Amino acid sequence: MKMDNDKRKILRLLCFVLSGLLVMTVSASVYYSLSMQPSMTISAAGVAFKEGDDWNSSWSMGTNNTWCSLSLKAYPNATLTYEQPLNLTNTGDSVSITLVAISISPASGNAQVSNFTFINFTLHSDTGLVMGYLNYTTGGTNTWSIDSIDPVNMGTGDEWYITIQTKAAAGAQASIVANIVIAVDVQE
Amino acid sequence: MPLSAPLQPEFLGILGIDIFLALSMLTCIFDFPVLLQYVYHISAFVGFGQLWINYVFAFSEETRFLICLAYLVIGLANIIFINGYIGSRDKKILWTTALLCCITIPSILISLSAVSCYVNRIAISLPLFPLIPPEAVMAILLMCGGILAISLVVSAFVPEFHGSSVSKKKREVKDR
Repeated sequence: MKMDNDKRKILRLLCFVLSGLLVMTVSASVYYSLSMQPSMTISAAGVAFKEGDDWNSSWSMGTNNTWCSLSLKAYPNATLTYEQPLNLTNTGDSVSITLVAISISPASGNAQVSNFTFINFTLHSDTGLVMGYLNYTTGGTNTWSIDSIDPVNMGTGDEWYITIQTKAAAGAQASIVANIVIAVDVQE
Repeated sequence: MPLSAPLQPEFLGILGIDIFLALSMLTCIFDFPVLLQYVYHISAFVGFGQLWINYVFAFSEETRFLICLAYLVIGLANIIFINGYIGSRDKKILWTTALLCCITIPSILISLSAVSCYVNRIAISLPLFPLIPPEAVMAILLMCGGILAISLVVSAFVPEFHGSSVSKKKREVKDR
């Protein structure tokens, strides 16, 4: 009887060992497979646009405030300033941001370019300090000269504003339109 | 080339699985009730099923951590209990000390360091394993359950047949 029990015990132990080895190996492999799965979470953009105090109702703000479209004017030989048309908010972690030129038309080389003197985008902190800029100037030529500065840090909860200044050449033709696409480059 | 990756909460669950498997073997070696041995072994399977549940229900990382931590703590508590019970039942200091030094204390230390690594986001090098699709986890779990069921049947019946027929015949031969 004792021998039977011993055999039974040894057999049971052997089953436990084999079954345990299988579970251990497979669970380690499953863990490895799960941890190597790429994962991606969709969340709202931390840095987003917001309508400023001088926002015009005819302008459009895109979905999730990640883009906007503004129609601006320029007067010949007079500087037109939009004080606070657009704000920039950061609801996420602290990031580095900068204004980046994407495209402009008429492009450099087009004779219409000389109708403009400058189109300046300036980024101000909530206290009014200049944090960045993106300046398009022509100097009366057919070539755009683009100037910007290095990225600056934007803290969590900050709300900055963008000032836009435009000026057309003294003898500029009316109804000349410039389409400018700029972006806010956010480095996390 | 090993890959370095921060620990996932399931790593604690895998430690718990290993602890329960060790418990099932320990209780078998030290002649604990058979039911308890299988309870520990099935607990290891439950831990493995938990990997699948975490994947399917996609709990938040905090919830997964709490579930796995609870499972690990239960496993450690059982190791301490078994160690203490063997010490009080058998009154063998050598066995108790050996279990304490070889199993109980290392298990606790490894578990604490794993929890610490997870909380502090320390990257651990993992050897390269073949990748198993997560969808196959349920099938693997069922396969392991099947193997356990077979082992139950085998360990319950085979020695009885073996002992009743062969050993009795040998005994009869010796008697003659």
